Amino acid sequence: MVKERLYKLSAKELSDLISRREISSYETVKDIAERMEEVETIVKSYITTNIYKAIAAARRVDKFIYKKKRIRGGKFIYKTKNIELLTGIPISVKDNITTKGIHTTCSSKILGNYKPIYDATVINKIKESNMILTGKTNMDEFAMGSSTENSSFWTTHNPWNLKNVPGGSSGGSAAAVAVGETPLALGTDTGGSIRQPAAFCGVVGLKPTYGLVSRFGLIAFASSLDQIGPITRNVHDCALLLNTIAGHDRLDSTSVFKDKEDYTEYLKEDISGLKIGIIKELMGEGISNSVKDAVYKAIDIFSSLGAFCEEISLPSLKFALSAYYIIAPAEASSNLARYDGIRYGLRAKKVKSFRSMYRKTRSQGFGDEVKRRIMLGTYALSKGYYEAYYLQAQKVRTLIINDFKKVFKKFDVLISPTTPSVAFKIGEKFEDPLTMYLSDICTIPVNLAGIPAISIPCGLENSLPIGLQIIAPHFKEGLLIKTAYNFEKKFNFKLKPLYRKIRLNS
Amino acid sequence: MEGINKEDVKHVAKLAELDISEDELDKFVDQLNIILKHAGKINEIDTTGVEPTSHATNIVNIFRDDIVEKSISKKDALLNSPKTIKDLFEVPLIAEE
Repeated sequence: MVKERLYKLSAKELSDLISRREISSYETVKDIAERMEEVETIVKSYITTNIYKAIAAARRVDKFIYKKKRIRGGKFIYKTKNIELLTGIPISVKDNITTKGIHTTCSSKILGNYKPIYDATVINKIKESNMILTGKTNMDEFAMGSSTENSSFWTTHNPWNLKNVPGGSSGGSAAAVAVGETPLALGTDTGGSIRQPAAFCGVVGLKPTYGLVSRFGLIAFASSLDQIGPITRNVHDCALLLNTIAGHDRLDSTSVFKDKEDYTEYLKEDISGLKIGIIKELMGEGISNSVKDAVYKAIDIFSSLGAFCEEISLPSLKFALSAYYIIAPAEASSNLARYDGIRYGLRAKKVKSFRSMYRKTRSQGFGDEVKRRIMLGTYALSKGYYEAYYLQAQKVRTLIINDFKKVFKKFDVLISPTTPSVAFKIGEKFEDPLTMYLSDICTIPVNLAGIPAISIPCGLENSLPIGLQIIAPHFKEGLLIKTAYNFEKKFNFKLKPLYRKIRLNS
Repeated sequence: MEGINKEDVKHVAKLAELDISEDELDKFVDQLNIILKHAGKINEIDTTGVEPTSHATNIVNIFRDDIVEKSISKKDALLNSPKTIKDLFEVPLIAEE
């Protein structure tokens, strides 16, 4: 029998094998490293790989798993009885999440040499769970973008078709999971940056409720919207990783006090009688026909599983994108004022005064999209425009929240496409920011309302994946897991890039 | 709402401490106008009597007890600075040229 390559297995499958001591963490990490060697020069998911440290960490975990003790009669038994799930499992992390001693660049020249002196809370949590960090993944600079083309290093390629973008901003994380360079990844989502790349790469991505996962150590983009969440190959892995990262953290003042849940419990439930609302505003103009068809087929599957599906309207969603492109840049313009060339990051050379150092550093360190958003946000907050733009956008935000509240009285979850189309070509939208922004039209309302949503694969168009978005009320991640898992079991999606030989020009 | 012109972009860039070259200016004016035109749509909706939302959960002002805890060392704090002198961050003259 030819031994199956380990990189193809899900985190759950690897975890079962590791806890039965059929494979070691070292073998797992080594096979991931081999896969990285095969595909990384072409897909370019990572900014920084951490393989040497990962292998050392895997050996330490194995030492713990395989530790023996002598019992009566001269026999030995394994000392560690309960090996926690995800022990020894590789994970990659988006490069805006702070890792002690490992470069954390946000894909920006301004943080090109930044090595944090502390770990983010989510990093502490994955370390405490004995997971193995494989590296830091590529993204749009400061998470501003929908294609990973705004990385100041390089563009990540979609493993389904290398000429296409992987989505963004967590494009590196989604591509790495899809192609087998890691079974699990962390991304961040401010307007769709977990769900949109997950949809484009045919994987599962969940944006948790605002406040469920600590953001201590996440480099801020738009603080009222940013959330960290899992990107995985299936819903079960998503539930496991969410178990690891969720929970209150006193170091994040927006973190919510809430009892810990085991999200895998929801995998056992069926969805008969579940009330699903189909969002009318996200099934009309601007959504490609093949995407709509795939969502309609998904509705048939939900109905066949005993769910009740009905179209509903959230009229204020029409204004969500416009409101977002005021609110997010306004928050970003304030958050990014900290890049001054003094305490960390780039400092412009040959400057005479403090002021010119500040200005030159920022001008040299930020890319065009970041500059655009800083200027946009500064404008929206400036005298004379504040009320028409920023304040009005915040009021529209209230209307969007009210619309969601209203429909959640009648429906358990809502569905829509995750993206209006499948992954577009590299370069296609790069010079046209508004067209690029429109690719987040289905995901943005969720961030404005602070509610959770998941994207799961629901079809293909020209061999590129289509994502289905499921949305739930605050802290109902369990409901998302349950709904998505039932769909996934029935739909049976095949993640082709895992089985592909990746070659240039393929 | 009327659009944004070159002078507006220059002013905003100055407020945001960014240098924008003449070459880049035209491109940014065009792009920002397109984005602002779309963003301006929010004024088509009636928001009379609607309260603004700044934050989507109901938490307000979480405070920690004011207890002195172990903090990072001076050495660590200076580790990422592009220029330091002894125990301090070094910066150019603060007085304007």
